[in-house]
Amino acid sequence: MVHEHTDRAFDADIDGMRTAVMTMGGLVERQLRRASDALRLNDLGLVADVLADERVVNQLHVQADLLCNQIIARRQPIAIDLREVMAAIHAVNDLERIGDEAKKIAYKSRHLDAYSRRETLPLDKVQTMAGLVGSMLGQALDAFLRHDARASDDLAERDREVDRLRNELNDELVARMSIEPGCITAAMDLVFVVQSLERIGDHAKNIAEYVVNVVEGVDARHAHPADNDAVPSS
Amino acid sequence: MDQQAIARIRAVIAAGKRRDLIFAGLGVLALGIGILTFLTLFIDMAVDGLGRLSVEFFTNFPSRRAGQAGILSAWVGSTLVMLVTAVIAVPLGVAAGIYLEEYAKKHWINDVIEINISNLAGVPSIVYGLLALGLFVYQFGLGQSILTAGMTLALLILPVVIVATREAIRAIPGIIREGAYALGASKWQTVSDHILPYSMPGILTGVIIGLARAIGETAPVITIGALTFIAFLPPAPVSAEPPFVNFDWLMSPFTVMPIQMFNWTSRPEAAFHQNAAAAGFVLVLMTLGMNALAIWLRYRLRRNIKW
Amino acid sequence: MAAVLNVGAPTPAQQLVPKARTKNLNFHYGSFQALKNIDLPVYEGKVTALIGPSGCGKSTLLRAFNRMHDLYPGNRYEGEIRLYPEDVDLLSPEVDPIEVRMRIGMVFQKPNPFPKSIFENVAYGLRVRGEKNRTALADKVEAALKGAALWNEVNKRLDELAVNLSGGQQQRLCIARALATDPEIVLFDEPTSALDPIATASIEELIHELKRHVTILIVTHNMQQAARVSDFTAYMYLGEMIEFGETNEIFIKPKHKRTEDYITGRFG
Repeated sequence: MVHEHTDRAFDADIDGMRTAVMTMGGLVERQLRRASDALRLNDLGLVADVLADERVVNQLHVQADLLCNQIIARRQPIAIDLREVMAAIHAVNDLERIGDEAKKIAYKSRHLDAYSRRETLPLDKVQTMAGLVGSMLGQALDAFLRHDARASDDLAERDREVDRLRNELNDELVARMSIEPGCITAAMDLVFVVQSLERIGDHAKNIAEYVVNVVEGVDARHAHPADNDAVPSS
Repeated sequence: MDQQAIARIRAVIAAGKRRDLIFAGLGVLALGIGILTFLTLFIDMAVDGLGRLSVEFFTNFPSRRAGQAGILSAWVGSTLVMLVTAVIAVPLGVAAGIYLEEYAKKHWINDVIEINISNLAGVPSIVYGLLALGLFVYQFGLGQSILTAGMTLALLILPVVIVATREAIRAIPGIIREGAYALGASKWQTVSDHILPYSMPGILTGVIIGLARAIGETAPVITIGALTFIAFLPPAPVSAEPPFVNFDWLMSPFTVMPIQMFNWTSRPEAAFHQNAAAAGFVLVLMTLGMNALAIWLRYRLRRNIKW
Repeated sequence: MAAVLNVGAPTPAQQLVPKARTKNLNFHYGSFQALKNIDLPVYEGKVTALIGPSGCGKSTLLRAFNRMHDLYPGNRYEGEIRLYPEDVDLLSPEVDPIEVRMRIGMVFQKPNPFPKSIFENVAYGLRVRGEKNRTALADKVEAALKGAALWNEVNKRLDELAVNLSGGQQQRLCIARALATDPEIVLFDEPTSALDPIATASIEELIHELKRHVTILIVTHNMQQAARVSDFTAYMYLGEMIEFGETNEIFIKPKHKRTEDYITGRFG
């Protein structure tokens, strides 16, 4: 879609940078999927897989940053090239955070393994939330690959849904903890899992906002009305 | 690179070197012929005439007795004629050159003028003599004088001066000219502050080369009637009585070096031939001297210019 | 929404004072039309850069401002270049090109000092205006050389030949020469394309200083230079002005794809 520079090596550099971002995105998606599966199926093997991916994700983070540095130093990118590089730098930070949150979810599911009364916990709802967030991440990465600026509004909408689910789940878990103090440890684990999922949703929304800047030259961050509320909505 | 390709390259280089050597050799040969010819004539003349050179030779008038003949009137005449030539040719030629380069608009008339100026340089010098005879000597009544000779030779070397001026002006890079205009200089300011000073080396060189040629021109000077036996000098330009400066010398009869030589060589006595050789030697030295002056002036004035 | 930090934001329109403006400017070299309907504003105290590929007309446009085209036959202007605050049309036949050149100075691509002394070079513009007073000349020459950041290097050898200076020094001398006469606008025609990177940087720094006192219009084929040095940039192509805007905008998000293609090297 973005047609070529006269200097083909510049195109190759940009492609290399985008490939690093997409590879990292794919791995992070897989981490999230495995972490939520681990929670659902109580499968500790998947937890180990998530941790293994973490190492590669961190390496990619460093590599992607290095590529962006090199492009800036050697190509002096401007206009759309500059906006792409800035988007990539921001996106890999968000992706690294997503991976980190997935890792935390994996740890919590390992912790939850010890709890005997899992069926009393609202795990289904947590799964729904995880599915929603996973789909948001997929949509954000697609938008990044294809320079689709329309995804940002959509993802903002879905993020509000994620926030609503978090509020519901927090209320439920608090209620359960007050009735049944024995489940507090497990319920707190789930509270943290829900928090991680909500953060992943935010990061996915950010990535879609960077795409808007690349395509339209407009900084879409903090542009949605809800972002600037003085009082949090929860 | 493979061996074959390297060998081919080496063969080409060797062939090139041979050609270089052959051309250099031919060049030296051509140069040698030219220099050798000149040296031979010069040395021959020197050998013949050196013996005659003495202070008296320079201060004596021509005489029927070879031993007492000198070139006083001849070299004084040559010098004065050159003076008049320069005074007429330089302002006219430089002004014409400047006008044609800087002021004349692109028009077919100017192209015609340009072609004709180059053609004038090739007109046989005796034709100038005939022109001068009819126009200056008879029509204007200036007589067979230094003034007439000066005017004739000035016409002769005018194309040389004009072309030298134009070439010198063209050598000035356009950005220097634009630099002057960009500061708000008028055309005249640009010409007098920049164009003229920077082209002076080239102009002077051209002028001196022109004069060096004129000093040896015989045909036109004979045609207008320079006398061959002058035993007097033109009147002095300054005197003790008022008016203190006069220009009578301009209208005076005269002779010049080539004519004196010509006169002596047509005498049967061998001694006069020796005189002619000596005079020739002096004439060549004068010419070489003028060329040396041109070279030195060019060197001095060009030091400041770096383009 | 008030800006917390005053960086990177576009200049408010009230702070921009127009110094010159071309109105529907067309230019013909003989039968070839080199400029087509150019409307370029030039703001006082700002650096405006003209960029574009070879043959786009940027130098032609620059040289129209000081009527250099009048020196050569066969050129024809249509339209106006208005100079403010008097609102006079510089291209009008009633305006003498010499007067225009006395008010608008020029620095050329290749440094072109006269084969004279450093002092005489800088003083020439003043002499052309009839200044003869030795003290006045000396003062103005010193001020100009200081303005061009050359005074400290040459003040002890003002009588030496200008052509013996280094390339960067020669160009600064040419800038001093242009400044000596207090021009209202200085035109720079690719001023550093013949210089090495260090000399280039010193000239760019100088331009940055100079714009406090004088309005600058610069043609450059080096886009990074335009980005570094200018407040406003105009992109030209085949005699037309494709886009004009603040340099920050043009180099981060230009309005026209053709501009973006050119500046990012996707051109041709």
